Amino acid sequence: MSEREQCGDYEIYLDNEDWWVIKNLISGTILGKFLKKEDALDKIAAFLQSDDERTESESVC
Amino acid sequence: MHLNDSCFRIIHKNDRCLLLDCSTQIFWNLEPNSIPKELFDQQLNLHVLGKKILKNDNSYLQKLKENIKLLRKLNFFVPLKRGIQKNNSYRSSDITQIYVNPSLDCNLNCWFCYAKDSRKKNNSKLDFEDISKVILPILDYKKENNFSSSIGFSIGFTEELTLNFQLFKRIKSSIDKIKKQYEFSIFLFLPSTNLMQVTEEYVDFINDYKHLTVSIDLENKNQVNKVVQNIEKFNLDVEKNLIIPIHSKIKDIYDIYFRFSSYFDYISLRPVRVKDDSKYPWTLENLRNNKLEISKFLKKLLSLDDEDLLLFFEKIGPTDYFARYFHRIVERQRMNERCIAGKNAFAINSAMEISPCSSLPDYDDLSVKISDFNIQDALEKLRKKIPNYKETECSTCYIQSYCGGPCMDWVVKLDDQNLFHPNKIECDFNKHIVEETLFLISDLIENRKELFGLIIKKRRMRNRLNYALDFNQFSKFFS
Ligand code: SF4
Repeated sequence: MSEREQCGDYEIYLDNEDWWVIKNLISGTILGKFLKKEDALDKIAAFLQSDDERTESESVC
Repeated sequence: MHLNDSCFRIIHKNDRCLLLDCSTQIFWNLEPNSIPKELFDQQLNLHVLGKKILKNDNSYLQKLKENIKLLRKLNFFVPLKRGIQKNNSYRSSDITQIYVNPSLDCNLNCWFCYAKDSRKKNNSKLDFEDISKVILPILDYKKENNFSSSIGFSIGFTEELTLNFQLFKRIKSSIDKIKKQYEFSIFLFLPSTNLMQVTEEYVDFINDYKHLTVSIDLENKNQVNKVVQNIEKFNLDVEKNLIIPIHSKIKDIYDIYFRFSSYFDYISLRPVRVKDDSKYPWTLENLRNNKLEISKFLKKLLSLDDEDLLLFFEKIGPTDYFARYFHRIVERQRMNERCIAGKNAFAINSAMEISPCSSLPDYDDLSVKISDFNIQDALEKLRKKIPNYKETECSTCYIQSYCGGPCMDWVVKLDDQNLFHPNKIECDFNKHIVEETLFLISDLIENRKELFGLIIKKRRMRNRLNYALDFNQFSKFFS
């Protein structure tokens, strides 16, 4: 297994079957496996940008 | 700047420099001496940023340019537009918060009181029957429309609750009785008290409720003494919150936080929204000094040792103005809507008028008379009056994700001719807090990472800034 690299809550590594794996370190879930490292990085970039749960509104002033 | 553009801001302060991507709310530290001054404190899009950097030939900028190109290829920079969701469809949306203000009775006359103007205009009162006629149709409206969010009622926001406590208790027991008829949860919130006089009954109630919020006017020595005396009457396990309104001429902000820290569990400082004719108006000059005080306060925080800084973060309350921006930055919260007043939250005053919040009933353009207890009709009329700030300068503002738009009450108080646009004073105030807090957080992450981790843990936050703050190092991950 390759060295693990981390950015934000996400980790990327090459598994034993040569897939590039993205793991969410907070939930511990595997978010995807990619043949090419670029595709995995592309995905992490997208995760960092969007993070749907980020949207908030305030209920008290 | 076009909405489809990416949006960046290079923020420069005290020889430090940050690049903020306004859409993703990701920011990086930059090497200030290598960045051309013409880029400081400017709103930039990818195109302009690339062009300006291209003109320059220092090696740091060249590297920066390459890395921007790399991230661009990954479509990392998203348009700012993504951050703004146009939404003005509140007409049939849920109601989650209602303030019912049966009277304007108070035993103090604080200089900043939000009910001051109303007191001059009306002295009517709502009785228990009136309040029931207000509450029930709201609950039924939710039921009929199958709205499932919980609803909170706050009773007596514009009065000193201890003067009208029997009425509050009656309302509470009536709500407790009808709660079961509805599938959504119904809460009753206690407004803050000035603690000038507390009866045994009130103390018992609070000891049972386990939560107390006190609002204090620091300039009223009599109140300060009373608060200190009376707070001792409550049990130790009551969570005690103190709200301190701060004005435009406030000094020594850090000391204010700690003045009452032995009496209260949490302290929240909040700017008061007052008019030009008030004791401490928000003039441009006052704002300038106020911003210096805010900078001084944040500098003071950074000078504290770990233990004291952690203690500070343990003490700041959930409604503290600075704490909220701190949370929004660390969690990269995208504030879709800063305030739900007039959208999902409403206030009903003793003259039976409905307005977006308890501070706004005196602004005719933002309140509607409720005739024959027909709340739905009044609500619909009111909803049409609520401005959509997302179509104003907010739509291209670099702190829009942190700010979420202006406070209508502040807009009206600062410039009541221009309800439809945010006011520069409030915007400048917010921008200053965001910028200073960004630098504070970047300093903590870079120099006191372990302490930063403890602060995050203590405040039960989710850290969404756990990437390399150095732009070139961040980009390396994607190379
Ligand atoms: S209210 Fe002002 S600071 Fe806030 S998003 Fe709108 S323009 Fe920006």
